[in-house]
Amino acid sequence: MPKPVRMLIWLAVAVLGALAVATIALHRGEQINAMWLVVAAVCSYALGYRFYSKFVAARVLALDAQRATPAERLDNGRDFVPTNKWVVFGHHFAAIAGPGPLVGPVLAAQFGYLPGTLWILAGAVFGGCVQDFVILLFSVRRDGKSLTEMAREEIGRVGGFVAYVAVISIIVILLGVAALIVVNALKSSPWGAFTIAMTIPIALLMGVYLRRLRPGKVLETSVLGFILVMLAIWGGQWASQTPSVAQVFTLTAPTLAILIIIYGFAASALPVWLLLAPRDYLSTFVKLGTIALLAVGIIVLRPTLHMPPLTRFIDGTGPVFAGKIFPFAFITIACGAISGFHALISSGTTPKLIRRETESRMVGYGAMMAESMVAIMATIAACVLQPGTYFAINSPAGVVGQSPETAAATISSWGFSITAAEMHSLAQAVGEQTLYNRTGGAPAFAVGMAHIFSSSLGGQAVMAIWYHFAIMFEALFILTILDAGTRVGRFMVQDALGHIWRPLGRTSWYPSILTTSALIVGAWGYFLWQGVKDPLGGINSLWPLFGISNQLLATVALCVATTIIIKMGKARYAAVTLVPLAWLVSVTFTASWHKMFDPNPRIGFLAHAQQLATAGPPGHELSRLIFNDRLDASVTGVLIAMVAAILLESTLEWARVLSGRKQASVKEAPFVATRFAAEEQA
Amino acid sequence: MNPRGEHVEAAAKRQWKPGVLARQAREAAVVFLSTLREIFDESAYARFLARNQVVSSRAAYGEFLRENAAAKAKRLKCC
Repeated sequence: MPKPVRMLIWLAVAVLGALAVATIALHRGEQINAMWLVVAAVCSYALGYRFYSKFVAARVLALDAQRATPAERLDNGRDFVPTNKWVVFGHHFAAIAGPGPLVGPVLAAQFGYLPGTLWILAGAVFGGCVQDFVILLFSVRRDGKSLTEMAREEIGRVGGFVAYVAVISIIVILLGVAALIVVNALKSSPWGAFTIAMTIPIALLMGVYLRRLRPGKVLETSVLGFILVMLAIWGGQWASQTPSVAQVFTLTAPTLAILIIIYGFAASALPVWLLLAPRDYLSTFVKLGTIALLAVGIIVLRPTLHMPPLTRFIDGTGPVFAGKIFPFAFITIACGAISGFHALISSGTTPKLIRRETESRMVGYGAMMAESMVAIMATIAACVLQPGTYFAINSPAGVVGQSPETAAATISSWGFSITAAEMHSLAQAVGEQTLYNRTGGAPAFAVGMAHIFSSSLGGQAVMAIWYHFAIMFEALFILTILDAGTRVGRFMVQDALGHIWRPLGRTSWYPSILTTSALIVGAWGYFLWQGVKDPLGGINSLWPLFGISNQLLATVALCVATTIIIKMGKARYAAVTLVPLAWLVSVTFTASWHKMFDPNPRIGFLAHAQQLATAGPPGHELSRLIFNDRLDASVTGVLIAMVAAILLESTLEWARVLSGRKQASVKEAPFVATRFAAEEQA
Repeated sequence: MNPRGEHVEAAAKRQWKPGVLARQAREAAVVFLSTLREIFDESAYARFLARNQVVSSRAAYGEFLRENAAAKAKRLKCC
C-alpha cells in the first residue's frame, strides 16, 4: 500500500478516535451510545500499538530479530517451546484476564463513565501495555527469569526482597477480596449457590473423565463440563423454586465465607489433576467464551449508557467506596489500566514460549490492550444500568439503610431515582430475593450483562438465566484463583521456610503442605471474614487495599524496567517507564496516606477505629472491628514502606550508573543467532 | 499444525489472490484451534508423547500429569 494512503488511513483513525473521545467527554445531560466508548478504545489501542509500541520496540528496547530466544536455545518441549505468536498471544491473554478488569471498572463507575474510561485508555496505552511488554522482553533476554529474580539481580537485595513480599501480599489480599466478591454475589441466593456448588462435582468428574476415560482430551472434556454447568444453571432455577432445596442453599454471608475457606484449604491439598486442573480448564473455557460473547453483544446490540459521565461522588462521598476521584479511581480500576500482577505472568510462562524476540511486542503490548478492552466492556455493562439500580446494588446497608424503602429513598435523594418496587421487580426478573447490598461489583456486572442480552436474545423471560450465567462465570474463575493462588502462595512460603528448616521446604511433605496451606488460607480467610463482618460491606476497605498492593507490584516492575533501561545506556528514553512509575508512586502514596490518616472515618482506617472507640461501650465485636482497622492501616503502612525502599534502592542504583561510579552492565543471556531468521529467508 | 506453527508464517507471506479468502479463513481457524490446544495443554501432551515416543494411554497421561503437576500448581492466575 502506498505510503500516502497509509498515512491517510492513520489520520482517519486518529480523527475518529478524537471524535469519539470528545463525544464521551463533552456530552452533558444526554445519554450516549456505548459504541462511542468502543470506537474510542479501538482507535486509541490502534494508534498506541502502531506508533507508541513501535517506538518503544525500536528505540528503547531495540528488539533484535536475529537474536535467539530462550524458547529456541533451551527448547526442551516442556517449559521452553518456540510457539506461534498468535498462540502465545492467546495463551498470555488467557493467563492475564481475571476478575480484576471486570470488577474494578464496575466499582469505579460510581464516579460516572468518563473518569474510568479515560484512565483505562490512557493507563493501558502508556502504562500497562508498556509494563507488560518491557518486562516480557527483559525476561526473554534473561532466559525467562521471574520478576523477583530480575529485581534482585538488577536493583539489589532489597529489590528482590520487596518483590517477594509484594507478591505474597498481593496474593493474600487478592484472594481475600476475591472470595468476598463471591460471598456477596451468592449470599441469600439459592440459585447461585446451587450452581456454584455443582461446579465442584462437575470439576471432579471432569478430572476423572480426563484421567481415566479420555486421557488428554481436554477440549472435549471442557465442552462436556460446560454443558454440565449450563445444566447446573438450569437446575439452579429448580433449586430456588423448590422450598426444601432452596432452604439448604440459602446461605448467609458468614456461612458462605466459612465454606469457601474450607474449600480453599481442601482444594489446595488435593492432587492437581483432580480439582485444580479441570476447574482451571472449565473456567478458562467459560471465561474466553463469555468475554467474546459480551464483545459481540455490545457491538451488535449497541446499548445506551444511562450513567452520567460524571456523578456527584467525584467529591469523595461515594457509597460504593469512599474517596475522591484522585487517587481512588486509579487504585480501584487497577487491572484494566495497569496491573503489577501481569508482570508476574510476563516473567513466568510466556517468555519461555516466545519464538522471535520481535514477537514480544504483539504478545506483551497487544494482550494488555485486549485486557483493557475487557475493562471497557465492564464499564459499559455497569453504565447501561439506571444509576439508581447501580447504586442500590452496590451500596452497603451501612450507608443506604437496611430496609428497601430506606435504601431507595436514600439513593433517590442523591438524584438517582429508584423505588423499592422497581428493585423488587428487577430482583424477581433475575431470580433473586433481593439485589440490595450486593457489594463487590460482580452482581452489578451480571445485571448489566443480563440487561444487554435480554434486550434481544430471549427477552425478559431469560434474564434470570443470563444473570446467573454471569454470576457463575465470575464465581467460577474466582474460585479457580483461590485454588491456584493458595497453592502458589503455599509454594512461596514453603520455599522461604525451607531456608529455616529444610523439611518445611519439601513440597511433597504433608505436614509442610498442611501447615503452609493453613498459613495462606488463614491469612486470606482473615481478610474475607473481616470483609463479611464489616458494616460498610468490606469492599470499601479491602478493594483499595488490593488496588494499592497491585499498583505496588507494578511499581516494583517499573523500577526494574527503568533500571535495566538506564543500564542499557538508554537513559534518554527512560521516561517510557519513569513517567508511569512517577504516576503510580503519586497514586499509591496519596491513596495509602488517605487510607491510613484521612480524618473522614469512611476513608481513613485509623479515623474509623477512633470513631468506633468513642461510639459506645467496648465489647468483643467492637474490639475486633477496631483491631481490623488498625491491621488494615498497618498493612497499608508496610506496603508503602516497601514502595519507598525499592524506590530508594533503585534511585541510588540509577545515580551510581548515570554518574559513572558504577559500570553499566545488564545481566542478559549471551547473544546467540536465531536459526528461524535464516529458515524464513530460505 | 506442527508445534512451532511455521506454516502460519508461510501463509502470511503468500500473495493476496482472489479465492485465497477461504484458505486464509481455514488457516485462521487452524491458528485459533492451535491456541485453544495450547491453552488447554493438549499441545503440551502431544509434545510429551512425541518426546517420549509413546502413544496416548491412561498410563502416559498419568505420567504427563505427574511431570507437569508442579509447574501447573505454580502457575499464577491473574487478577
